[in-house]
Amino acid sequence: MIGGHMGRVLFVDLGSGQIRAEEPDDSLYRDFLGGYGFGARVIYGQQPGGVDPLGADATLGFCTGVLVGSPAITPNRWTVVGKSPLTLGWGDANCGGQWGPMLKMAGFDAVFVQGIADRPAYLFVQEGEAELRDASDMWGVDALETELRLRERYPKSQSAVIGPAGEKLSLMSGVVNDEGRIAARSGLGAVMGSKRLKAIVARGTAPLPMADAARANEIRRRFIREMAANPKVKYFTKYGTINHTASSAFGGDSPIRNWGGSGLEDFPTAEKISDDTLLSYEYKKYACWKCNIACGGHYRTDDPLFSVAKTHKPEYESSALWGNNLLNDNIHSLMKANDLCNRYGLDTISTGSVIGFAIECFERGLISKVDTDGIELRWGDAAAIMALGEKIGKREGIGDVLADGVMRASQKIPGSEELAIHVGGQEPPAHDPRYAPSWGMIYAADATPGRHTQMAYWVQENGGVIPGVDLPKLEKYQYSGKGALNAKINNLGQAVFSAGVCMFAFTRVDFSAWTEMIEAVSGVETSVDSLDEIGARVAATRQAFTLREGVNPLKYHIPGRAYGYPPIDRGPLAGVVVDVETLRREFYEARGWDPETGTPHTETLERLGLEEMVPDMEACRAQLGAV
Amino acid sequence: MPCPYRHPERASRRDVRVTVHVYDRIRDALGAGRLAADLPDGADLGMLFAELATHYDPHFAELPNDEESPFGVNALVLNGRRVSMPRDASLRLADGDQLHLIPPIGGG
Repeated sequence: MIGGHMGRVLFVDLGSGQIRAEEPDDSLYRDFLGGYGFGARVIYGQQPGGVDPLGADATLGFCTGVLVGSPAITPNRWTVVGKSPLTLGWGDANCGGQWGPMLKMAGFDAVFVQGIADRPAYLFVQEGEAELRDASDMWGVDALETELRLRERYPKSQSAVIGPAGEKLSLMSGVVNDEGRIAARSGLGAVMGSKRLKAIVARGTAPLPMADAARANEIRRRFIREMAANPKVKYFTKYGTINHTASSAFGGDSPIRNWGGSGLEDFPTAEKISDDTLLSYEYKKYACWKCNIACGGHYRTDDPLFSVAKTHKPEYESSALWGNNLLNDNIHSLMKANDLCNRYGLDTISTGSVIGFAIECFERGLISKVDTDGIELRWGDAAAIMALGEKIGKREGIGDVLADGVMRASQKIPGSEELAIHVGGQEPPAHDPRYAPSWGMIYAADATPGRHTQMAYWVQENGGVIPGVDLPKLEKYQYSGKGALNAKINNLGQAVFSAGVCMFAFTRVDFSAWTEMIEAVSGVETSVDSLDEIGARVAATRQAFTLREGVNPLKYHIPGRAYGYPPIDRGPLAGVVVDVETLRREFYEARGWDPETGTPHTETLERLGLEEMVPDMEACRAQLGAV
Repeated sequence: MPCPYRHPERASRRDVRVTVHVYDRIRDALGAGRLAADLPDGADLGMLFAELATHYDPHFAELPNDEESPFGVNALVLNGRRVSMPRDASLRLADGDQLHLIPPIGGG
């Protein structure tokens, strides 16, 4: 058996209560490295196109990769996967912490659930066994409290849970572990809620089988030494992502005023929520499982309005969407918003976005205090912002309208379409395509739209690097000539992230940390080229899934405000118009995908060993009218 | 926040004072988030960076768009508008100008 895997995967039918463990063929592990690529392949194979993502036939997967639980750098990311009820195409969201490694120690590489339980349930996985148990007493309980109760009941366990937002099928809900880390995007918390599955509890002590454990441990020690001497890593350990909330506001990277503003003019006080000001509320450092970067932290504030005894660091995305984007410089409210979202199990990006949308609707008279139960929605009014956040979590009043994201809310508020900033239904993260155009490209080209964690040349456009991968420096606003670079970088990311490691390590440690470690752990010869091919396979599988659902990335809604259609006339992004068509076309061509339909070419699928998808993609091409 | 490195005698020769806002590792390296640069009348952006390189740190002469450098700069924002070097080196500066040096983005 290939190393790095427990070799067993759980399939659970919540409707019948049947649980079976399967031992997937080695080729499936080898070709996808586990993780979300593995999940995409499994679900593509067993779930027909067109299922209701919130129905019994939908499958939801919880996947770990080959490096999860290994001595790799940051070996702890797991991914929740399935059809997104938000975008109706492929959905995935990943998370660090302790749960992924614990699932493996409990004996399984992945868990796939389908069906709907007749009453709230949780899956208890321990030492190679699994059973469904009654969760009625935890239905309605917030995500953090649920985790604490489960850990009290099962000492030394780790749980992945949903909060009330997932139970109430909010399409902005995710899956929470580590008392506030959340696999937030794609709305997959709602899928878990639709199945009445409150939690998956994992507990175990099984060692990870590895091809060459001694070599793996030596590699880890070597790269930890190298990283310890790297000032860039030390800086990230101190701040995590909060060091650039203000500079992103002033430079044009961060959305301001529901993506319609300019930081220096509209939000000059951004420094009040950034850098050392926010860091001063950190009372304890926090690291995910076996992470030597340790960028996390626990925060607290005793502010009379927004007191929080313990929450995770409000990362850049959360601070930018609830701060910069809402012109909210109340730092205490950001910690409270983080806690609110973590408890309800809400995506901070989407929730901050939909609040910005609502404030602008209010400002323009599209909604009034009658609609908001008396809340006067104003930019920068922290109390009103938090009150609205509570309503969204509870799906109460206007919160019910907003709980499914900006696209669906705009369908219920006449005249608000232009204010709904989304790509294909997904609220984009706090990185403006006009600041780094390849970010805008990947938002509009990937099978899961609006995602900053899909790698592309944006790394270099932002001044970053992928250490050990030599790539040319091209001008930020050059649109042609980036296709092959975008494809290669994206492929490498797809492969390494399927293996189950962290994006923050991907850009901070030499790429040989991944090739050497995957080889040592799995026993399979690994190179940059082999990971390039695996990543291409993962990307094609995800793309095929989305296309088979009838969602064509080429037809994603693209929000004009974020792409410069029309261009803004002030601020650092003045005049920028993102040529997303050129970037996307060249990206697809470099991938071996048809730029007219977005479908992977037959020869591409055959080269990647995905022949089974050829008929589906031929049908999609025919349907899209460009055979 | 005044910069501890500014030479007091230069203030008397001030024609054009530009405030330079720095972030991230540049701020940490210099111990200040605002730098004051005093320049002669008619000074341009290129002269500003020469002044910064002379009086604060030689890295200012390079402006590497590179996260690996402790003085990495990804974007320049002058009075709210994007400018770039060396393209805008001859852009004339005025007293009271505000320049932001936006660092590379290393986090999510």
